[in-house]
Amino acid sequence: MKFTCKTINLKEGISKVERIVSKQTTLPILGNILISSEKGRLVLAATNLEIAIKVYIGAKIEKEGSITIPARIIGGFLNTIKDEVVSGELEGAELKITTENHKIKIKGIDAKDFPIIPDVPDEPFFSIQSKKINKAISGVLVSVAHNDTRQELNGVLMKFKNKGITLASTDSFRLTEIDIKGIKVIDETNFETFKEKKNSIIIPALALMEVQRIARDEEINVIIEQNQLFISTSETKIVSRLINGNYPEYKQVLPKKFDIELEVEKEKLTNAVKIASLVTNSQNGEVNFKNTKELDALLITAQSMDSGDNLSEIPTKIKGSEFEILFNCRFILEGLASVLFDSEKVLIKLNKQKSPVMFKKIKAKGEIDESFSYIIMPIVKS
Amino acid sequence: MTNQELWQAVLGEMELSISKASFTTWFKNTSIFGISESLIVISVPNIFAKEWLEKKYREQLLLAIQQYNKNITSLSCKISVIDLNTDETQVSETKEQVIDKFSGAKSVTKRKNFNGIIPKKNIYRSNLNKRYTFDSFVVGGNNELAYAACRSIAEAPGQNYNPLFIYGGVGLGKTHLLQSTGNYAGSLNPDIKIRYVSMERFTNELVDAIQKSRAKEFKNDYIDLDILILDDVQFLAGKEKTQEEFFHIFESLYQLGKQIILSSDRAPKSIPTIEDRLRSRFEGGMMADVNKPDLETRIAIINKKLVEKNFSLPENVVEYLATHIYHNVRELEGALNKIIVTFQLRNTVPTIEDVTEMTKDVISINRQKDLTVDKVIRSVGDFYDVKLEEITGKARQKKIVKPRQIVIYFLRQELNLSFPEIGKSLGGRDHSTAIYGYEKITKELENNLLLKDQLKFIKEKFIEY
Repeated sequence: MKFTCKTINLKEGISKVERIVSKQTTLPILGNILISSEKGRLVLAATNLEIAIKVYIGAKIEKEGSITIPARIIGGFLNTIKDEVVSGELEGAELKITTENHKIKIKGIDAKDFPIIPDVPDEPFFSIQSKKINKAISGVLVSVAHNDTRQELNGVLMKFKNKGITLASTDSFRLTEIDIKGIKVIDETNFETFKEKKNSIIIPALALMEVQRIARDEEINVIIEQNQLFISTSETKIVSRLINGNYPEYKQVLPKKFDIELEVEKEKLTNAVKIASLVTNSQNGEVNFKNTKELDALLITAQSMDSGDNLSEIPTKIKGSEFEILFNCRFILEGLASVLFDSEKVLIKLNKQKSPVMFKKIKAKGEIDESFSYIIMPIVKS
Repeated sequence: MTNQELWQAVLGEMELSISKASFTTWFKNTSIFGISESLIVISVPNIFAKEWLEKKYREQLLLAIQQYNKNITSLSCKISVIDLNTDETQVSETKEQVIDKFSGAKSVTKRKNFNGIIPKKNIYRSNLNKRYTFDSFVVGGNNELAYAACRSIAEAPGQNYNPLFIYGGVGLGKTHLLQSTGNYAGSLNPDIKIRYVSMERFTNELVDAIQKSRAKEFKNDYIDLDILILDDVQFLAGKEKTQEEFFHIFESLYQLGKQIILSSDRAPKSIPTIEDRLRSRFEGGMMADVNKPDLETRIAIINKKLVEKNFSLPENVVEYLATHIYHNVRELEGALNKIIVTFQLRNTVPTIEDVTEMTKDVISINRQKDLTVDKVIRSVGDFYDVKLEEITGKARQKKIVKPRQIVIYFLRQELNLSFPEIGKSLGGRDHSTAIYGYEKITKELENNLLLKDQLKFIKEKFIEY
């Protein structure tokens, strides 16, 4: 193999694949990145046997071939050099990379031992605008559970609806649900047959993180086959396993109606909770929300023996009755920052008894954005 | 021949022809999904294994399969769902519980734990493997005390022996005892919160929690338990931060009168580099050791296993196995399984010659036939961090003299060398030096339990050199 390409292209490509390189040591080749030539382009690939990423980059291929080299070395090298162009040449079991000022020979492992990365089927089920899905992904990733013994909660639920999808995640303390409208169905017959069998899948959080990282402003193609999720853009292909199991029927836990509603400016709310988080006890991060007697302001307080206490007042109109409720400040701040990030005002809906509390975006014209929901379980003191 | 047996035989063959890493990577969690005339369908855990088996190992697999079933000419793979929870009853229970909690999520009691969306309770049993029970444990003189202590703890956790510290060599049933205790306690009281975790996993979880700044939640999770079972605590050695966190969890649980059960491959005082406060707490409760089983117990183990597997062996074969494999119960079981699988396939009764042939690799290790002077010196040297040349050299510092005497002791005891021979192999020393060293250690062993423990440990390591 012999190739020449722009350093920046190779660097971007490597950085896209290197994050999933496996750290397990049983099979050393999984710590490597596969570099090969394919139809006049350079292909980089990595896998940890749960997810695989393949990136195509533009290069001048002078001689076909392939090799795998340790991600750590090639990544480190490219991050350090400033030269504009790199060229690589296969020399036996080594890849020699030359730039204007540097030369490095990296010992590799034969590419034939690298796991075979399955091909993405030709006809996708549907495609979706990367902008739309990226916004949703940053929202749902907030409330994904980490290392929960219930596998399902470590992933994101994707439900298929007519012409749209819903993403949802919960770590059992809070829940995010985001509707995305306007997917472009491509292979209607197969997609319909699939939906008849299964109307939702659970995607590992890592796979969605990678989708978010790879996608530029373009259409993303999605297909599900053999319990694997295939995602492709013009330059990147991702294959990920899906999580088996039944996602909890979270809808049943959500209140059907809310007694109390209030609107607050997001910035004011964020600042007040941030202040409260400074003095709250660090264990539960308890922040108290209550109203004034006249129902004309929201009072946010916190206190702890060690640090002190605070009181912030946000004037607002409160519909309903009096209330007092405790939250974990981290859950509120995270939700405001990533689920409700692009909204000026926030609608909070709650009940007098301690049931889940709903946060919604309010659009510029004052309409409620129904497609984003962020729900937190209040803290109940026994 | 059932599909399972066929697959076992094929795996046995594949294991020989490819590297261990490849074997575990590609063949873990595989099985035969079904056979229809000429087609065999293999169930694999992921798409990578599917591609690999279908493209790289197809020929080899087919050849191996055809030895047992001539009709099969084609092969394909199917990705199947493997539930991480091995225990099926538990899985279904979990689902029911989830549904239960959902419909009842409005009731006040259930929301009390600030955990209303999905209940968390059932995670406490997740690490216990239901396969391990007291019933399948063979009690003998070597493990009587540990067994009795575990049983009494399962019946009344936190009351009698707290903490319980079980120690003993590899493959002698420590994990079996710990798991059984958890399972038994769980069956007596379904609401009890038990967690079984190995020290290594505990450390990983802790590191992870610290990274995600959830250290507090991590600790709270543990303090909430009724019974904490920690396997392989010797891995604490040298991990200061883990020791610190573990100490606090230990203290909190202990203060609350919650049961703690620990296991290790050596006694607390022989675990290097753990803090004294931890060591003294380990020793503060009850300590029970698990030793190598005696001959009668070994025979009992074999017989129990045979009944379980519904297989029988001639008496002289049982006796042969029991007398020749005495170091490790796991090895004994391994050899037995190998024999059972092979002879179920062949459908004949194994003779003593067959068994001798099949188990010769295991047994030769046990006999330590290949133990040499060099190996003894190296393993003692490694333990005390002294170089080989120093032991055979002239120096007479205390740091070197002691290991040298231990080497002498082992050479006499294990290799039956004569004193002049020992002197010669230790850099041409006089036979009287050897006699003196041997007697000194023999005498010291009578009173010094720590030394006894260390020697036992070194001896177990001989195999690795």
